[in-house]
Amino acid sequence: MMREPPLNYILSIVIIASIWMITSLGIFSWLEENIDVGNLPVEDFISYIRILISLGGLLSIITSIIWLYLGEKPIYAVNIPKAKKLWLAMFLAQVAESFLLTLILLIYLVIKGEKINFIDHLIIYLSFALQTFFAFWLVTFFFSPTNVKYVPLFKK
Amino acid sequence: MSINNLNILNQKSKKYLIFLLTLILLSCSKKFDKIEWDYSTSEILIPKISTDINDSIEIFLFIDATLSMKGFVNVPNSIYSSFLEEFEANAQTGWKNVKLNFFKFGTKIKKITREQFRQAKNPSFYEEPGIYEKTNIDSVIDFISNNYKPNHIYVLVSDFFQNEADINLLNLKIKQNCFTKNISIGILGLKSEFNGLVYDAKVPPYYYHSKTDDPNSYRNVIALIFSNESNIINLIDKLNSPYINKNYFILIPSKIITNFTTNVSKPKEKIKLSLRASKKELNIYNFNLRDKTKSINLNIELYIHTIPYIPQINYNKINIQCFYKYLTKQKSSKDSIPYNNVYLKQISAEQNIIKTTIIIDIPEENAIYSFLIYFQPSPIDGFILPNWVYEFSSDNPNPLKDQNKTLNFDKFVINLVRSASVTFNFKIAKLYINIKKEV
Repeated sequence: MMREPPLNYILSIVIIASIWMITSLGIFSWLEENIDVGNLPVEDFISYIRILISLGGLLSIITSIIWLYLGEKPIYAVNIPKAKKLWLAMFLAQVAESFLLTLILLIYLVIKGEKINFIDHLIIYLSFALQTFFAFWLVTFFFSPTNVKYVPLFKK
Repeated sequence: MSINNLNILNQKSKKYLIFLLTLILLSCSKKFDKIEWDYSTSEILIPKISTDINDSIEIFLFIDATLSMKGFVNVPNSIYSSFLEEFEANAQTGWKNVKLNFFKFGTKIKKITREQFRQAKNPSFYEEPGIYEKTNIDSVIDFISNNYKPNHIYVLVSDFFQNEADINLLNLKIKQNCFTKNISIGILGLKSEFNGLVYDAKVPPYYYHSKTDDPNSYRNVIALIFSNESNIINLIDKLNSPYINKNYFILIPSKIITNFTTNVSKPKEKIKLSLRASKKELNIYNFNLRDKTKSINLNIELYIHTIPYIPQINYNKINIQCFYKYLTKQKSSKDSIPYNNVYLKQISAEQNIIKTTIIIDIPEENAIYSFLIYFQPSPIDGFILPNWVYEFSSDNPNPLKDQNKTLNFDKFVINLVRSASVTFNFKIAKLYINIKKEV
């Protein structure tokens, strides 16, 4: 039932939105009280990374919906290796996206002439990772159409 | 989709919404705003000069009619005579309606007509019994104090002091009668040809004759102008005469700043101090401190715009005055408390930008501390007087030396500036540093 549209679409969006709440409102609110961004107001910095992670979340929703839609197509039901290739490409695109968001953040800090410490970088990257490829993996793990439900990583 | 599925979805949506709202509310708390100040800058800034000028003005011109002034009119068409003549014409141009009142003073004050005023370029004007004997400037100050209104300007023209007691008395009178009533003072120095007896000295009267072709030999005449700073500046700007050198004018106003902006940044130190969203337009800067450090350093930049004609601020002699409020979980301060544990570490100034580092000692308890910090010129040596004040002055004018100079004019001006600093409590900028300490 959870693998059938439109419920799997709705649940995927809810899960990714929930992850966004955990990262953007939970982790970043904690970070807001604890991070030091030199002479850049913390609120400005947090707003900026919230925009980035929201972008990441939006892209992971779009990618997941595309996967759920294409997974329904018979072409992938009969050709699982092709489906695996597609899923992996989407997953790796999400991994790349998480690095890209981190790179954008680094460039932003360089432009502002400030830096943050390694632990804060790590926390922010893990949040990006959670919001992008982990969210994609999670929703495809649980809500992929029946035809392609064994395609996501670690699904046996 | 079945009804059962929709119910499950509705229940999930409700929980999701409650969680979302809780998180949003938590992330929107603004603890810094719980401590409030009067963020007005009216105690520092003077109103815009253009808006503070009345349409109508009443000018009271007091001319020293003692014997020592006679030397200025013994030379035909002297700068002094021309100044008086042109003053009447120039003063008319500054306002829509100008009423001029003329007085001569010495032993006593006497109101004179415009026709009598025009006789001020004749020696006989300075020979009236009952007036010519003594320069009682203090009586003019009393007159000003008793009659002052915001649309009044009082101009007092004299060669000044006959002895040191005059200086102290005049300073005291001006402080008590003018500064306490928010009356500002302008001091205009003039040099005019002179041929006569000089009385205003520690030595017996002596004869002095300036050289016609040597302006440096001309004798000093001083005009003191009493009003609000806007009127004084307007009057001076309108006195367009080749004899008036506006570099020989200083203003001692009730406030010295027309505009200021601030910037606060933290130095690169290994202290867990983070800058929070601040309101620069109100000069409010918020920080989080998660460190056991007993003090923090902050870099401060002040962009200062002073009103024209004031003595130069001595940026090496800037003082700070601090008050603070606090808020803990248990208690809060209702009123601001003077706080002496804020120090200036170093200071430098370039044109109108002051750069400094301040050290703030932070109390031990976890709390929100809000510091109001004023920057002030030192009341003792917070201003640097222009050179002309010293050039006009001598501690002992006598027939052999400094014949044309004014007895202790520099001391008079220095004391006047100090009195004004103390009375007006000049401030050049202020800012608010809010520190939320959580260790």
